[in-house]
Amino acid sequence: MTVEDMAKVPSPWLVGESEWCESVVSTRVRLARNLSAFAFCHTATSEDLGLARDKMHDAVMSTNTLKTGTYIVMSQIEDLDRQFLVERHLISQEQAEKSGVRAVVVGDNEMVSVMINEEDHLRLQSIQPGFSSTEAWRLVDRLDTELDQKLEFAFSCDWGYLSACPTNTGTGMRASMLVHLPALVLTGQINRVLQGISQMGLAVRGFYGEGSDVMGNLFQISNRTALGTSELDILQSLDNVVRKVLEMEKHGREVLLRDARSQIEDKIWRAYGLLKYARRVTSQEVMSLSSAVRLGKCMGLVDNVSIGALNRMLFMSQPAHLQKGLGREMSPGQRDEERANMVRNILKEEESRASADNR
Amino acid sequence: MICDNCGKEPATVHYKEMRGDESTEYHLCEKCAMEKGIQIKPQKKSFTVSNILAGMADEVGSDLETCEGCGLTYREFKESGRLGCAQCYESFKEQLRPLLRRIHGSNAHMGKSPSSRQGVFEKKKEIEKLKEELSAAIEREEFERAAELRDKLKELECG
Repeated sequence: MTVEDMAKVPSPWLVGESEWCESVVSTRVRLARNLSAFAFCHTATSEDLGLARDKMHDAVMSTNTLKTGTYIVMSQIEDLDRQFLVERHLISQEQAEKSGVRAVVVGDNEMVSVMINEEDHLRLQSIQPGFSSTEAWRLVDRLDTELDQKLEFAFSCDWGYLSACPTNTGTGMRASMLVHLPALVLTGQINRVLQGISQMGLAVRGFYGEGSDVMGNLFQISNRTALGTSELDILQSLDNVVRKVLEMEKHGREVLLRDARSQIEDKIWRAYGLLKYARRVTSQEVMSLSSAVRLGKCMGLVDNVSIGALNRMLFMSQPAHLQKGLGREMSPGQRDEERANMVRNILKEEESRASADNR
Repeated sequence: MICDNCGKEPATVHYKEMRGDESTEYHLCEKCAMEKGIQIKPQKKSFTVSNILAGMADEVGSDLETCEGCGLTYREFKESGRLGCAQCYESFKEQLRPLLRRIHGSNAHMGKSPSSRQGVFEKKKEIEKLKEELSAAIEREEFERAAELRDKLKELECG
């Protein structure tokens, strides 16, 4: 499987219908590990990192979890391909920018992957659709246990798995969920909720566009500490907080339906209309418009598009995805046109699928 | 306001990250924001560590301490927020202990351990637990219980 193959289909994990999938786009669990025999990436020589990389390559490719995976060396692929992998959430921006002696191994359904020589020697990760911390942990834990048989990890009984940055030392775990909270934003409660999440010991990141519109109403909630708790406790805490937040979001939607139904319907259908008919659209626009349609779907006001299609729309409208999908590089203006085409096609397909189901 | 990333275009995307009581703001132009995709990560994760370190008082001379394994100095660690090798944790343990407590609210690992150290690690966790129970029993003046625990501890520590 090459990057070209990956570009032909959306991320396999995007299309699944799963628990809470309208509100939780994805769950990600990542573990940071370092080899005890080598200096950390920041300090080691390129030569040593090369040796380490080869060792890690051999170990990873011989695990049951990733033996059918694809090994990609950062410096051997194009800039656009690297950006594509970033958009796919398979590598970080840092991994894409500084090629060095870096690589990634991608499992064949993209749900498990390993970054080699990013900030730590190994960054194992699993991404799952919707609310699925148990499944994500199961996969990444299995991979970790397999690798533990073949490699020696830097570990201290006092401080757990040792990482380059002390913020990751301990379990080396970062568990996060990408959640969609349009009602909380529209009812003006979002800042209070974000503060609440912070006070409960988790970190939350959101993106703010111009004015008060949050980009796509998407927020990433993750654990903040990695040392002093067990992996299961971290996951439990994330689950609990996200569930609470989703309850509040659900309540916010009820309030909107009760007190501002006509305004909300208008906002949702205008968004749908733009997506359906516009000839040029930026990725920022796709994010906010599809967020409104997604809200409509959750509220039962919109029926002719699936969550899977909305997820695809979000991800496929990213710059590298568009260009890889069409097989050519494009200027921002051309991308805006092609993006609009892609979005219109998705909606058209969904509409005919919906009417076929209704017959 | 100019974009934090390219320094050329005006910043139109404002991104705020909240960690506990601290919130950090980043400002990007549309192009840079889009190019970085949906997930924008702060320039260096170690940004947080450098901040925390800056706020902590240092012993005089600790800046020059060097790790025997990789040659990193403590000052270099403070600047980059990243350690050089596994041995740094030993070399700088006096400074790292309070730092880890600051960052995580704890400095004792409670999670998974590698198979090669499982025996040792599980034993250590058990010893810590018994020690806690022992001091609690003594406080409550449950001396019989305390004696039991003390014997169990002796067994574990010497066995």
